[in-house]
Amino acid sequence: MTPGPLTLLLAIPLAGAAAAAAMDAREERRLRAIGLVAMLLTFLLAAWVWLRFAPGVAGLQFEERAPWVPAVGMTYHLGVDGLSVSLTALVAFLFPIALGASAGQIHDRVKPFVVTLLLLETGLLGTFLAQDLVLFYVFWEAMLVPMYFLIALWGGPGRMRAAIKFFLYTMAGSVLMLLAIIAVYLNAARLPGGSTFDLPVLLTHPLGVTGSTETLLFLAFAVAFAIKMPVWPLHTWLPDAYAACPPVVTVLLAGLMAKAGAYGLLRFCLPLFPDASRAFGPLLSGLAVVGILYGGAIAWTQRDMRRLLAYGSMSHMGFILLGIFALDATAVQGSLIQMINHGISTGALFVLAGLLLDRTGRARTDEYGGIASLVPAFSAVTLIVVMSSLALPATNGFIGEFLILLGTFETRPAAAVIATLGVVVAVAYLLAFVGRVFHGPVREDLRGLADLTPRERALVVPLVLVIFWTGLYPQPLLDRSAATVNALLNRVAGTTAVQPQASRGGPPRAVTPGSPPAGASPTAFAAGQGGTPRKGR
Amino acid sequence: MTYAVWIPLLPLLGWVANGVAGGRWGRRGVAVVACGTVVAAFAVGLAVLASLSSLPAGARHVEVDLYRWMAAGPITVPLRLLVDPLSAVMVLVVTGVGALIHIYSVGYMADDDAFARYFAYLNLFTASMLTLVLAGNLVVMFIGWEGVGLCSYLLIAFWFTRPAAAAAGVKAFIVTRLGDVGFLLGIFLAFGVWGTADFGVMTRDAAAHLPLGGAAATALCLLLFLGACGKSAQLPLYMWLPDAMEGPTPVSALIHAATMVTAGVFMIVRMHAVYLRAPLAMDVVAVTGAVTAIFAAASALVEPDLKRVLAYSTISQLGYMFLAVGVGAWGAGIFHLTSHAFFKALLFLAAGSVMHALGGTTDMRRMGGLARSLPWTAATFGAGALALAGIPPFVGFFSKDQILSAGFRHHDVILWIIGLAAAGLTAVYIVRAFVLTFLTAAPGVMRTPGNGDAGGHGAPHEAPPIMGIPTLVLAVLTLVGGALGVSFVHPGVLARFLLPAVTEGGPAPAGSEAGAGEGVLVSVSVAVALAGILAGWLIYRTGTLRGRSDAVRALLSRQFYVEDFFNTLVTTPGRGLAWAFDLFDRDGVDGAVMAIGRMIGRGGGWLRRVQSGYLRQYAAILLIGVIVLLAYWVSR
Repeated sequence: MTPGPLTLLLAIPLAGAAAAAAMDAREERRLRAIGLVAMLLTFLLAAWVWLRFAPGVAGLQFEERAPWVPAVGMTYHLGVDGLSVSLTALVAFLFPIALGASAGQIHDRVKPFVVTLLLLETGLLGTFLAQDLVLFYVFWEAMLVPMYFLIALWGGPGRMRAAIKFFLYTMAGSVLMLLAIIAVYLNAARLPGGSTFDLPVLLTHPLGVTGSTETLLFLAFAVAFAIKMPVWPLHTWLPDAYAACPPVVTVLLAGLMAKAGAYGLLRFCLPLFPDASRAFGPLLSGLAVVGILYGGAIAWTQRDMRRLLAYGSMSHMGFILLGIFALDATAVQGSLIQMINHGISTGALFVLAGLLLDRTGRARTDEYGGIASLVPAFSAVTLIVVMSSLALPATNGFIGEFLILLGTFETRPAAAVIATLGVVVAVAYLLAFVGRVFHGPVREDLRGLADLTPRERALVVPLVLVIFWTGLYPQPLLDRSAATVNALLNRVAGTTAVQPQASRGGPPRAVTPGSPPAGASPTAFAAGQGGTPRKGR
Repeated sequence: MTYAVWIPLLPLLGWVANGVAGGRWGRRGVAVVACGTVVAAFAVGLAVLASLSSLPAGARHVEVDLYRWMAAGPITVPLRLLVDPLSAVMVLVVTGVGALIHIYSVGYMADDDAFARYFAYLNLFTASMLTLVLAGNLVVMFIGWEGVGLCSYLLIAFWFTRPAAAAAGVKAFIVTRLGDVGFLLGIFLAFGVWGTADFGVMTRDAAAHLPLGGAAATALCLLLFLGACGKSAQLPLYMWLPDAMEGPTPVSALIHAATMVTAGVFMIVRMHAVYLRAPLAMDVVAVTGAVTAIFAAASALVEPDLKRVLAYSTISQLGYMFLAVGVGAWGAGIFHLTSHAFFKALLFLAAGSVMHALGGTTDMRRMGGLARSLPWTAATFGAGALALAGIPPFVGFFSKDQILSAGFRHHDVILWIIGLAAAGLTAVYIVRAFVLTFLTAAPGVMRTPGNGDAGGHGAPHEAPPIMGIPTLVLAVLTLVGGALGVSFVHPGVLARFLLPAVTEGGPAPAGSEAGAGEGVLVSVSVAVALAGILAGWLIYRTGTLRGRSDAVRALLSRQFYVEDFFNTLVTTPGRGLAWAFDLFDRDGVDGAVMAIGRMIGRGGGWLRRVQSGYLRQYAAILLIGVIVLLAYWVSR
């Protein structure tokens, strides 16, 4: 079998890492160049996949499948569908920006840095592409290890403590997930498909786990993903890690790795354990609301710039969780687009915070003041990103939060009403950030602060363009996820004997029959594995 | 009528051009781009008005779909504009008054370093406001609604190195966002009721989907009204507007008097068919408006700052507008909105000329006798003041009179009495402001230039023509604008033109327009206004503002302690809660996690002791194990 575009997507950063590893460590410029070229090639390929992706198809596209360890039913199975295609593109989009932004931050051990970054990219891409449980687990761990080293080796004060905390937290989740994966595999032996780790094959039949077994398996997966997002109260690794990381690594941690958690909930928890997903929906929605308000309120009190943004990021992840467990097509669509938006906006905020830290070395917001008059272009870009973060209409953030809250209002009105208060909290902490750093009397010791250089403009302009593009014309993103989301929700709604009822708070609101796109039958999500119209081109 | 899209698009392009390249083409270029786009939008607005008038009255409802903005699940939101008499009138007010204020700003901001940034913001504001008034559904309206809020924040905090300005901007944004929570929930509820938030659909199907006086209709209207309270500075969310006077004065004229703050009134008129299904909500609107009108007028009585007097006056006049729409007098509400845009913008621009002459001072205790050196400014301010007081033939007389008589006919004599009392207070405070600023001269005032706002150059002097002419145009409009709604020949031109837009979805409550006994009502309100003027003159002509620290005065200068209540009940507990969360997060949640970590560590340490390396200990453990196993075996 010839490797398809998705294998290539994983191979390019890996090849880049190998090439960089073979180079002389003193040739820092060329090392960075190699890394950038590999990442840009990856982005071009991911963009091509995104453009060629057929909207309206629920199942996997660009599918690749080869036996891996046939004896125990492991397959090398890659594919993208509506849940992952845009996230894959986001990963490939943010990496070159992070590498570009690292130029002012990472001065020592450039070679291992570039290599680690490229390995992390492969791990992240694999996480979004893998369709086999073990393969997914391998990639999931493969992104954890480079991230540990990125924190531990290039971080600031307190980095060891933060790295170990991060590692233990996520390892604890991973172990639970591994146990659950094995349990699912053993359980599948009773199914007509036989024992397999292949997710679409597993989904062709109901898993047959019920009651407390399902609850336990669901929780094992959910806890692993919830730690990664993070969901309140499993979040306390986050402020330490975000603040101890080099800012460019925080871009990846907040912008991308958090999404892997949310994505895992959608990819595994919902379809594998529909009953438990419905049963735990109210609880998880409640935790989401707590996270939104709690994270936002704490962000308001923080004086450390990155801790402020870290808690803010956590608050925004709460909206994504809320949308997922609203189990409503509009809300889940909103969550998916909000994952992209959060990656762009939070990523951009940390890029900007990093540029500021590089220039001044000041971590606290009250060590700044009035810099809007010193660095007008930098301030204008920050303002745009802040507005997108507080969900101003016509920016990307609004589309996501609006759809999430609108959809949640249909199925869980109380949660939606309280969560809507989050938009006020977001204004409070983000404007406090702007107020302390950019407004107020000019600090004399900051005079001479340099505005954006052409290189830095090249990093932030693409982010600003995506902010407005998604805010004004989000439909290409929404169209790509619609069919998959409908199929997924129909699966969650209809696999068991629970009577579909129209009442609010009951099973998910199925999409009205006949509404485009078609193919939203309960089996389409699983049956879609054959639907690979572009395969082999 | 697709070309209507150019109305918001032109100022938006001006924003992009001046925002990206404004530093490169000099002040003249910036000014031409900024003013040119707004004047051009005004011209397009006139064309829209003309083609709308050529349509039969029943067909004056044109929807312009640009593209499908977002569709997810069963929800579809098109980017839709709605061109009808209501939006046409609002477009002309926004672009007309907006163009005059843009031109005035060229002179007012001439010496400011951030000239390009100022006009970029002003253009963005105009574009947002035009989006708001042209929106075809609530979601598109929300683009404009939040956009004007953003620009308001940016322009209040325009001189952001002044801590007061920066804080005022943040306060405005947060307080209005508090209201916007209501607006957002209102949108969600609208989707729940109609499956859409389209104005055409909601207006047409209001009666079919909403039982009269039902919970859904009432909740929807009250939620949206909460948004209106924030944006239009009504009780209890008014407190950001006086602080907003930290912004440049033309901004106060455009955003915080003529246009943005009226958005709430406009929104209710736009949703009138829905409000008619919720009589209780309408009563809440009317009462809130009336109470705010008299509350703010009383607060203005003791305010020493000229701009803040005008701010309270704006809050009070907005209260009149809500009183009007609350009793279903849609036409009167929009007429007063228009009229207020003329005379309040005029008052602010004249106040701006005073500040320009005095080097930025707004404290009336440091003014006086300026009529001699600034005769034009005094005359134009006087015209605005008479209009505000409701003296014929100025425009404010006609519009306020329509509201008062609508309130009277609504069989709510109490509303009428409150409105009348507020009118009396209005006359008193504006005469006080006029007298203290232009007539009486206390010795030693106005010799030291203030700081910040505009540049002062020695002795007080009239503003340059680029500021004087727009002021004069507004003064003329204030004088002749009454022709738009001469109340003796009901309904006025404006009301007749608006009729198709505000009668869909059922007629207004009976008696909200015209009727007998008009002459008596008019005479009473004019008499009250004249009495107020006389009282103001008698009290303040001595020119002293001696602070008699009696209870009433304290009450007024703290605005009846509304803000103090708000701080005690909302702000302080909110801050405390946030700090408590922070503490809890470090010591509670994280503490628990770290405790688990320590426990595992300690457990490991304990287990490590087992691995002591002493053979005899291993042998002992082995022995114990064997004994336990044996015991188990034997006992089963």
